[in-house]
Amino acid sequence: MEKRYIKNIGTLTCEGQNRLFQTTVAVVGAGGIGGFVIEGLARLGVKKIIAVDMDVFDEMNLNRQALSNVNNLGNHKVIEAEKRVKEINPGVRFLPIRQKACLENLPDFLGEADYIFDATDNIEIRKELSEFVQNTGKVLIHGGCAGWYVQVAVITKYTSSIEKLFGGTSAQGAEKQLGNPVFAPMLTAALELSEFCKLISGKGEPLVGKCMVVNLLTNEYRVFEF
Amino acid sequence: MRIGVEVNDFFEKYGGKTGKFEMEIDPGFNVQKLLQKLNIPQDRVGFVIVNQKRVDFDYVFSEGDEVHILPFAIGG
Repeated sequence: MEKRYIKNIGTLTCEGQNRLFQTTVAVVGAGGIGGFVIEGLARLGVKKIIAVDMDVFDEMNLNRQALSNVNNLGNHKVIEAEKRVKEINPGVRFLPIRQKACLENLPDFLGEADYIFDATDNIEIRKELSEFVQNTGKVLIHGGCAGWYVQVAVITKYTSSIEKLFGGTSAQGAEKQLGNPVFAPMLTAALELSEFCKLISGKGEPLVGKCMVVNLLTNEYRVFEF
Repeated sequence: MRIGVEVNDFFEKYGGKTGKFEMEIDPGFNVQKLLQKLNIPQDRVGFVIVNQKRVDFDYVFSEGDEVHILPFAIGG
């Protein structure tokens, strides 16, 4: 085992770490949640990261998006993500896709990935990601954040769809009023990554078919079925 | 009959009750009526969870139900 992975062991087994080395993942969205997820995946040591995002960094991203800085405003997020991953762990392969993800292009973009991280910011694309994983047998790790609140769930072909989770409503998310300070996407990414490690290593109780909501104001978390 | 209600602090701005409390309700009382009574706009409600399970707005309450109302957190 390379020295850089030693501190993963204990939580992950050597077998689990080896499984990470062989796992290709996709991250849809390279903004707030996505930036932290990509950084985490590079440090965990997955085989390959496919990152999909058409946007460039803007000053409004500096409050929370780990990959943004004052020198890369205007640059494509996925290209900056690639630079960061190479700095952290050159052993991880990285495929940047500077396009908007939609149901039609998901098979081309994400076909190779075993796990898909939802780091998007709207319900429509999440429904498409859910439909895609349920048709292909892949795993979707859903996450979202709004101010003091975070939600995380895991969708597979054996669970209900994300449409069931959202209940067919078009309710506005709380982030429209609360914004997203850095700790919200940071925590969402941490929870998505720990779900991924639970699934990879077969440990604990992953949130498969369940949603966990966290309220940082009241220090409470809850898990419910959908 | 009585139900336990918990309303997320996000809904404070609409002037209704938030936090944990109990309510006396009539038979046939559903989620939609509860939201009206609590002055919570339906289009701001993300999840309504009853006894650890997500329910729709037409769910009719039973004695002893534990209800939790919270917004979606869907930003990135």
